[in-house]
Amino acid sequence: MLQTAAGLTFGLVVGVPGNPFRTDSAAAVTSESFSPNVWANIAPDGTITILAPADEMGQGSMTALPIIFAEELDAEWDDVRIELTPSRDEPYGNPGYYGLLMTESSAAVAGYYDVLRHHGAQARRVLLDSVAARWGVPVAELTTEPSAVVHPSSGRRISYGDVAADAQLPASMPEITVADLKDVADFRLIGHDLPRRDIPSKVAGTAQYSIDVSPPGMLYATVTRSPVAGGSVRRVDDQAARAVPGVLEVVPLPYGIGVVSATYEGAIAGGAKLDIEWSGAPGDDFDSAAELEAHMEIARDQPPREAEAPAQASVYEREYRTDFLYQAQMEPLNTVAEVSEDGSSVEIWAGTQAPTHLIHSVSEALGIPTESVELHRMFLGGGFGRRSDLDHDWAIDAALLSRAAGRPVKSIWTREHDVQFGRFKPISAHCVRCGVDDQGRIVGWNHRAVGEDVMSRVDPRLSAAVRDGTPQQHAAVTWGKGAEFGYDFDRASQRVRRAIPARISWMRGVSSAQQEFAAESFIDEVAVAEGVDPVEFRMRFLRSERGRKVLRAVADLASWESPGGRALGVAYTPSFGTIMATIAEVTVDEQRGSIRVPNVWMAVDLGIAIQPRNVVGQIEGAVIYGASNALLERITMKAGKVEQSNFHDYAVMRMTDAPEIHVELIGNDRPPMGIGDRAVLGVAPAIANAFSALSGRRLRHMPFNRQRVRDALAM
Amino acid sequence: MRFTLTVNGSPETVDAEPDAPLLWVLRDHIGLTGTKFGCGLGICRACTVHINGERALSCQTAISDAAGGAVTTIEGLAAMRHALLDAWVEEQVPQCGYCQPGMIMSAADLLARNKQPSREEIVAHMQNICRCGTYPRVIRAIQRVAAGSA
Repeated sequence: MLQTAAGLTFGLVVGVPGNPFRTDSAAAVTSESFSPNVWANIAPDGTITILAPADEMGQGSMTALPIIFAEELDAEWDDVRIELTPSRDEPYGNPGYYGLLMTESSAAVAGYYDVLRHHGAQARRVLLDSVAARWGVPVAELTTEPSAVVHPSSGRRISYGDVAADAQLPASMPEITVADLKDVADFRLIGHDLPRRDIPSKVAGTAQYSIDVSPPGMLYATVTRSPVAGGSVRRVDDQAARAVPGVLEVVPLPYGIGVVSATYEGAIAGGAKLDIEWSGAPGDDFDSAAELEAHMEIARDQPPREAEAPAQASVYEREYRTDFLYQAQMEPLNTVAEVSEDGSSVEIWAGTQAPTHLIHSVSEALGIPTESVELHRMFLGGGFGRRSDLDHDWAIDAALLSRAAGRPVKSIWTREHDVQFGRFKPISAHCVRCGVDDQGRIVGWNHRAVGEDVMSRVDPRLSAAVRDGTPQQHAAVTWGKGAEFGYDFDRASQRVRRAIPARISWMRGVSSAQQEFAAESFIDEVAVAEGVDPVEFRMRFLRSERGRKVLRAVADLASWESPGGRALGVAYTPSFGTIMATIAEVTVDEQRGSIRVPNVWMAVDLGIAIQPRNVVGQIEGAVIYGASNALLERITMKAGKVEQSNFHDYAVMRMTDAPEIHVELIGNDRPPMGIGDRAVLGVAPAIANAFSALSGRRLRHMPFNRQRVRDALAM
Repeated sequence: MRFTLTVNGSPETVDAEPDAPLLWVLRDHIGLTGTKFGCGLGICRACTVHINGERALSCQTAISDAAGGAVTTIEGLAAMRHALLDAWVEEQVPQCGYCQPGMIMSAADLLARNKQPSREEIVAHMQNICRCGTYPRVIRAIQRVAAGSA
């Protein structure tokens, strides 16, 4: 059940308390350790190991989730060490995300909050009951202090370690009710900004990503795939590749060619020397620019207007477009695989957002049972959605090549592979329409969006779980009237699927970011056309006190009422229970067409922040990611091929262009909601709206590259 | 071919092709995996090390050119408990952490040349790509060391 870690070099070990830059091998789970439930074990020396279910890709969940458990357990935080859970949906899947062990959709803290509180309290209760029995006192006379059970009336005290040394699990586990949980006002760990446990090793360079793992005898590999999705190898001349120093084997795969080498530099050079003729593929004619116009034709084809309110004053209709986007995580995709000699099992080291998906897809690729796939979950050098698909193409590479080579293999995608064979956020086209009546109210809002459906393409397991209606705890936002924190006018929405042959996947903000770019730009255009201040106009349609508070807060933070010559734009984006408002300031170099964003302000209400400082860090990161998407980034395809290949032609934001970011977290006692990919949502429309404030012109096609800015200014 | 160089104060001898990038020699031949691979084109700067006291891009440096020189990696800075590391922890800078060794090496190079850089000088020097957007905290961490309060 719990992994032993004795002598482990390659496992995910986080900083030993009190020793910031060294990561000693984890203390082994000994036979004397006591597990009150599946989420923790307590050693006789008092070390409390808490299992963290979410993968760590920089969002800090690996620390935040154990904090929740430790709070209710009433553990001394310095006694706690953290390990990731075994890779099993049962019992470690996210109850707030279809019961799956996945780290995506900003669902970790929100989804696990209740189950971890419950089990932390249950573990505490097991310890209390154990001491009550051993001391012969009613359990009601006992209480806890951090890592100790105490009997106030006699002054007796026993550490959790000493309890664990003799404890047994009860015949039936204690029932935990809300009364057993702490009051929010008594939280000692939650909300107190505990240092993240993964940070010291990431600073020292000892943190282990899969790219750093090297089991004995390991070889290196690159894999070349068809530039056009779905193509296969028709003919290959590998003579020059085999002649490269270090290259040992050239291995045909069902979807491409692998080069296996004694050195990675040899694998890169060998891969570059392959002469491959690819078969035709369905996407050979795919042109991203032309396809976007085809999307827009469909978006324009709106359903017939319903009867609208009488005395309607004005009608507005606008179109918005977004290009393909690349996640651009800093660690190129890679996996280490060691297939056993008889081929019946495999050991995998990978940084993934979906461990059970990885196991499923590797087991299928090798034709072995899922029980025979052992996964070591490593830190991710960035995920951003790219690592959550059911089929882990980049892990299958390593598994197949290890089997072919009879040795462990580390298969690393070069940055060129990561871009050229990437799976992108798909293009989207939007047509948004509404009327404004003589009371100044929005009527007949209709938003028609066209784009490929990511879930159908990359995650049949998730599709099935959603279809089956597995209970989930998301506070869902609906687009219709009465959405909890949204606008109160009726919003009709169609999402039309337009299948495309291009490789696609999830990316931070997903299609919500595209929807909000269109919707929050459009409502801003309507406000300006109606001669109403954009903040005031949005307030008109916000009934929710929480929502109004967030919008007011960001306006105050940015001095919206008295901008002092600054060009500001606003966006209001509630999403699955997280309420956010964003204001951006822009300046423009009209000659060059370059937009600068000197400042971004955000007000966020996400309920209880487990780690407020980390939440602010996530918001800062999302603002920079969103601004980079909005200003700089696009993937284009011609004749089915991706035209970009590295950071020289897929530019991402650097420090010199990054805005100063000002965040206000609005605290309250609502259960915690997500932030990681949510905070991207308001950035692009706020920038577009600020550009409009500056120039009177509109940017309706993301990214707002120089050509588009110059074109907009010239109109 | 055999090449000798000093890494973090220790002599190392490796057997590699002359054009093998120092990045892979450090990571794979010597086993110092702190220095990271991000792009292979010298753009992202995740591979930043110091060679003979100056920052260099190890993915763009052939082992034949690095041979005979003194290389410092993030492991070397950690061994000497460079003030930047404590500042990076105090400011809770890293998110995914993958770009951070190169980021810290760049920052160390800046502070070696200029103990009290202005914000503009920091921004001009720090070209490393961070996809998680830690730039605001990187600036604060460098300022913390510059102010002498790390």
